[in-house]
Amino acid sequence: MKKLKVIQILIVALMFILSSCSNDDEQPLKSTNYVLVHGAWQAPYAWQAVKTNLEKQGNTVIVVELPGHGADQTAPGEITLDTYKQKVIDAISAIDGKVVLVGHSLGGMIISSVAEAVPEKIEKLIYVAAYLPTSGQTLDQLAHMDPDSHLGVEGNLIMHTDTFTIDVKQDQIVDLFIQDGTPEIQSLVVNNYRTEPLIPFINPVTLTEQNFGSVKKVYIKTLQDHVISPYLQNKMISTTEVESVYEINTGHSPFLSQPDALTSLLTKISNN
Amino acid sequence: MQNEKNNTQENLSPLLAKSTNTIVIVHGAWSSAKDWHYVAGYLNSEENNLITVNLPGHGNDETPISDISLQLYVYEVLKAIGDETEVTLIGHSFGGIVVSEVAELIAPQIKKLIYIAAFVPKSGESLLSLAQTDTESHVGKNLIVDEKAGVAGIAKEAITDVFLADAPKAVADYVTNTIRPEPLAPLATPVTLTDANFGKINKVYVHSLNDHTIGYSLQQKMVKDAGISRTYSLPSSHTPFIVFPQILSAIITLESK
Repeated sequence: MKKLKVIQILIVALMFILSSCSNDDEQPLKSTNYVLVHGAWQAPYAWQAVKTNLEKQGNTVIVVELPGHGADQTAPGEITLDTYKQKVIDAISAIDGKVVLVGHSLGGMIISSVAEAVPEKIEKLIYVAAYLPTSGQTLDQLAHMDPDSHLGVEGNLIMHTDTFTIDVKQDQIVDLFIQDGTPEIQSLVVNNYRTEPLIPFINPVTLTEQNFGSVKKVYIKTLQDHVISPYLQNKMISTTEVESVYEINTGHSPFLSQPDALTSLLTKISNN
Repeated sequence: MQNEKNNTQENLSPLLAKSTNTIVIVHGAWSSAKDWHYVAGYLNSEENNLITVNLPGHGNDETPISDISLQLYVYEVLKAIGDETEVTLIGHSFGGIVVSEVAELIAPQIKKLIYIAAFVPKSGESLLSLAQTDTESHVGKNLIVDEKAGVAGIAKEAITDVFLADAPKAVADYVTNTIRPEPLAPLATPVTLTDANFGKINKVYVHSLNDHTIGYSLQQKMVKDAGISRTYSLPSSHTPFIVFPQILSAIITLESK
């Protein structure tokens, strides 16, 4: 009798498993919704390896393509920080439930203002080598607080106010973004380089305790970063309340130089 | 085309009838239209009808102090705008008070207000009432008021620090040596603004982060109170038109389209 009961339970369990396997649309129970936001002079390609890794684990992953980046042809003169914010909010709105919102570099400014606008949709903010502003700050202002950044080296930044764009010196792209990548990855970054809309760098964020302050934040430090130096990363972490801080021993683009290690960190943080 | 308009110049707007994009700039206290010549250089184009207003009692204008009032400034700007419509009206510093009052009076002609390191008043406020709440400003401790003459000055040794600490020394010295006392009465005159007129106009604010004339905290408060959502911030002293003319012109171009 007892044996029969066990078998019955097994059969019921097996049916359940089979039924969930047969339905491809159904997400695994512990899946996380990730929304990944790339940084300046980059595009969704940068997150591809991490996206694939996370999806293999059964998570849902959306990589936002910011206006004026990748294949998007919005004119730089029409782009403000609000334009980026809206694009990310639109992506999040399409998802049922809360998301883990990840921002890299400039993406940190964007995910902060998104959290201010829709705090109820955010499970956690993860800053990867990202700007973590306080209310009223701009990216430009934070960048100027970073004496160790190679962006500050005379001539490395080239501003074109007639086209509302800003470039980094062509021969500095590798040193800035991917000095620790393989030659193939370095070429990938150079080949996908596009000039950057200027105006969002000088749009300040407005953040409040009630909204932005209520959302959990985690920071992943990049220890060999030439764009946002560990000095500025530490400074920003000490200014804004962050739940936990992790480190990865890479340059500014860990998703390109060490995608597997970064994926593990993201998974660990999401499951905490 | 650029026209510096003041009360001694004839109205040239008929000549500019074909221009589509009218940009009117109103300077601040202790300043004049001339201070905007770097920005004017960038904004001068076929597409723009650029007018830099020179307020009475400023620059080379010799209107007696006793004749000067906020109303006179407002009238000067109204005259410069004339029949133009779709105007982008820009005020710097005290100019923010002037353009707010102008916008209240001719709201249907104004496409957008741009405040650059400027005061944004609420109805009943004056420059003085706002400035008195500013704990970060360096003006208060360096202000020299001559009530008899009806003017106010800034202590000579403090002029660079107050207005343009980040400007090239030659420019700062030039300003220090050519600055004129500022008529007092308009600074104390409150504005009258309504939600139906002033309140409905699109507004943009350009912050100056290292401003010793109008502290950044007061700038942020005024922006919040006025419900302005489109903002920029430049790592600048009170005079971004001197230290960041190119990027400031880019912002104006963008916003005036």
